[in-house]
Amino acid sequence: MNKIQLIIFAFFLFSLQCVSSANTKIYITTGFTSPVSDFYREVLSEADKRLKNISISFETLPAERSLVLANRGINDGECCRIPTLIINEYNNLVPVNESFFSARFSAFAKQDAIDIKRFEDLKPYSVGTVEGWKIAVKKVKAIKPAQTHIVTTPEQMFHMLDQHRLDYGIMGYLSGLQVITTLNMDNIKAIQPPLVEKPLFLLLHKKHKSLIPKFNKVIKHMKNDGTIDNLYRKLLVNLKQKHNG
Amino acid sequence: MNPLKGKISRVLVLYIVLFSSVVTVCLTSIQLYLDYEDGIDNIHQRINQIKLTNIDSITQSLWTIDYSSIQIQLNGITRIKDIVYVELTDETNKTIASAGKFNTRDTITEIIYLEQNYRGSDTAIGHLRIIATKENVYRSLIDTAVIILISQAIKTFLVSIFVLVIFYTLVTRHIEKIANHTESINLTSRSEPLILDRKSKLSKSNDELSRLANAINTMSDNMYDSYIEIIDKRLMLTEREAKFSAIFDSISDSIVFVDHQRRILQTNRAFEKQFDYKLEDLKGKTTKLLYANPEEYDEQGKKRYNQNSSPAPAVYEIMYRRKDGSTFPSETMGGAVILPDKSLLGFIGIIRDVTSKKRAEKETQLLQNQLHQAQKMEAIGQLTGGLAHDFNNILASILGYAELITNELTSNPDPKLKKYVDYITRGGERARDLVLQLLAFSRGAPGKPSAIFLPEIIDEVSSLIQPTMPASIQITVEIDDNVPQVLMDKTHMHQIIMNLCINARDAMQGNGKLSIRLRSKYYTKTICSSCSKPVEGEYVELSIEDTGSGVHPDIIDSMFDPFKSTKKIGEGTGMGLSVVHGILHKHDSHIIVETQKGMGTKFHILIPPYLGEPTSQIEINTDKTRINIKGNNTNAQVLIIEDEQAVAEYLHDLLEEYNFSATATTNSIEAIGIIQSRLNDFNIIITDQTMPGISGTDIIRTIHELNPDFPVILCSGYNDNIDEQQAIKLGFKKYFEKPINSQRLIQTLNDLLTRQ
Repeated sequence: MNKIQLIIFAFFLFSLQCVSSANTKIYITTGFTSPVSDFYREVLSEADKRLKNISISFETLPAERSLVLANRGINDGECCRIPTLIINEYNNLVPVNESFFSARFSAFAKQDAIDIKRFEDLKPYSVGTVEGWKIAVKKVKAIKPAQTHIVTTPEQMFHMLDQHRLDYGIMGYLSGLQVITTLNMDNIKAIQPPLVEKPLFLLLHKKHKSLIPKFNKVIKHMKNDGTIDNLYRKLLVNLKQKHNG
Repeated sequence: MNPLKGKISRVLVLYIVLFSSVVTVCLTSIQLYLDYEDGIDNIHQRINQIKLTNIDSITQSLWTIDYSSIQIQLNGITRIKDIVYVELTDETNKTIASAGKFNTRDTITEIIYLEQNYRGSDTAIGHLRIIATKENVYRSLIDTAVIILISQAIKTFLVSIFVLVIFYTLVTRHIEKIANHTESINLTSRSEPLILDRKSKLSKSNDELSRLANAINTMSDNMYDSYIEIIDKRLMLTEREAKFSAIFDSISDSIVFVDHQRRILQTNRAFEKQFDYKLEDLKGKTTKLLYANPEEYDEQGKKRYNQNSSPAPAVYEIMYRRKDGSTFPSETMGGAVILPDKSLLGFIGIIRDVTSKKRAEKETQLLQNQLHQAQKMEAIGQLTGGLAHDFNNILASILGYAELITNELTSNPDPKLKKYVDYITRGGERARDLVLQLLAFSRGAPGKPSAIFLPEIIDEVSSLIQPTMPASIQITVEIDDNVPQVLMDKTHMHQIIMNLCINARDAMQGNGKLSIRLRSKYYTKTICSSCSKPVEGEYVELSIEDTGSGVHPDIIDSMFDPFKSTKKIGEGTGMGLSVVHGILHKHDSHIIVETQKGMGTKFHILIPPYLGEPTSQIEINTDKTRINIKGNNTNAQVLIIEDEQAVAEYLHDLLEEYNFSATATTNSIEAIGIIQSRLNDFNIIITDQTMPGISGTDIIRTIHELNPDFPVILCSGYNDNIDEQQAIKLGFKKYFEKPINSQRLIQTLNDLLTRQ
């Protein structure tokens, strides 16, 4: 092999490398609504900046659709879920080990002074939850309350609470607060403490399994340098404080 | 009025119903098909409507995983008419939601694929299966069909009734009237015209019924005219056929008409009578069964029934067989029957039974044979008779002069001369015997027939021939009782039996059996073997049979001819059977010969039985003892008329020797002159019978005209048809056969002179 051939081969490899780096675009969707989805977008935006040769695109979808599209490979990841709950149904998804957000599921109600601490406490009541909130749907179906309403959107559930068609509505604590704010339903409160709190993990389609270390690394780094905390405080804590008053 | 009474009406109704039903079924089928298509289109339209109104919403709900909304929408869809089941599945075919009752029978299934535009491209997110039932369509079709069929049935019924009534009014009743009128048409008389019962306007119109009625009226008239014409022609034809049949049957010859395969088609009455067959028995059968000889049938077929040509008329002989198996010969004239258009109709055979003709030919042939035989025998007889006459004249001289020499030698003995004269005398006598046999053949031997019993003759002959037969030849004699007498010269009978027995002996060549049988037998249709004349009647049959060599076929016809002998020269004269023939036929008797070469010979002598009184045989004096009558005849004048000079001189010398005064003349004309001029100068006249110019019969007639009692003696040489009886009848005093016995002649002359 002479020099010219070596040069051409090296240029070819270089070209491949360049093309490969430029084409790694990752579509990540989420079923969460604002403000959690806003938090995810910011975190992933920061990760996008830090991950070389990886371009991250983020959008929100209906919760179940987000999972389906990621699992089918149409999208490349889903943010964020409790893997044990969905891994059997969506077995093409692989979790990134480093979690950067814990979800809290709370019961929302219009009335006060009801002592609800566990899901089982909801059994005598009319309980509703939102499709796509897996743990909530699963728990509600398990306890078999007096009435069960699994609605499509959080707005539906809060309207039903407002009109007393539900006694309790179960969904993510922060997402619920955002809906209350959006709908201006101040008469509806999140009952403290939350019924359950679980760490959520970024899920990637298995075809991107090789990217998991990179995501682990960058998330860990962002956790370590306080980026995630800053974003959390910036986007979520204010909302909590407002409702806690 | 019953429109359904007629068959046409019923058929019309049937066809209307059938046609209407077929049309109804066809139209209903088309209608139902169109309705079906319409119903199916409606289902598809509903499905399309679902696509238009529900798919976007369902797609959106599915995209957002809004199962409640999806279920509500699916339930809503199932409430749409004909939609019985809706099922929504995701992109992995997992059923997400369904509504209605799943059913695949008589359904239409539509699958709608749901896609969501996501990030600029359509992403399959599931599909919606819609199942629509056709039950409503079918139910609607059934309802439609029932309504159509019932309405069409009612319509068909009403139309049929209407058509029936109209058809009956306009057509059927008129057809019935036409039919009745047509049935009533009688060819033997002119029918009344057919007038239909119609409105005057229709009657005047020239429609089909009017034309039909007019045509029937015209046809009726024409039929009547034709009938009359046919009757006339049939009468003529019948008369012609009767004439032809009469002519055909009146022909006495059998006529048979056959087709080209020789199968019998027609025969006449003579044929049925001839063959004893009825035409019905023969029709269609070939003429082969009529042929006595099947090969002849095949031969005729090859010769005359060649397919390539028609046989030319010809006459040929065929032997046919009747029904009873008997056969007959025929002359058959056959020929082809050709029609005017030159086509071959068949073959005709005219058969003539020629049995009678054949029999007549056979009889004619037999008669010809008989005539030939008779002429032959007559010719031989005449020949032998003539010979006998001449020989007798010669012998008369020889024996006469020998006798004179002998007489002379009595007074002047000369032993040597005496010996010579004796030889002359014995030779002459042998010649005389031979002439006698010739005469016996030609005219029958002169004899004295008498009623004799043949058994006696047979006994005598048997005893005579026994010594002459070798011991190895066995003689048997069989004689029936009550065999009648026969009228026959006994000596001749001896001679006949002797001749036949000697022939039998010689034929057996020393070994065999000689059988003599005597019986009465009735003969019919038998032919005499010697004279060939038919023999019929009761006969005394004397049969002499030997076991010898038989008669050779070549000489059977000539075995009775004189001098015909199969014996060696010197052993026989060949006159034996000739003498038998002559003797028998002189006495109306016959002889039948049965012989076969190597199987012996049978001679059956057939003699008419004699039923009269027994007669005594006239003894012929054959005594040759010399009579001494010399001395008393010196004055007796005897005129001798004899054309043979030697005989005349012999008689003259003989009479002179016995002292008669003899005058001899050999000229009969001169003799007549002598008689007429000086008859009274003579006492007796001796005349020959046959002479040139005049006969002994003429002589005596001349003499008796002058003196009826004048004694005349006739000497005959047996060449004339005159015998002793006839001679006596003619007035001759005595009849002598040549050669004359001199002693008897002298004795007779003395007797006659004594009477004078």
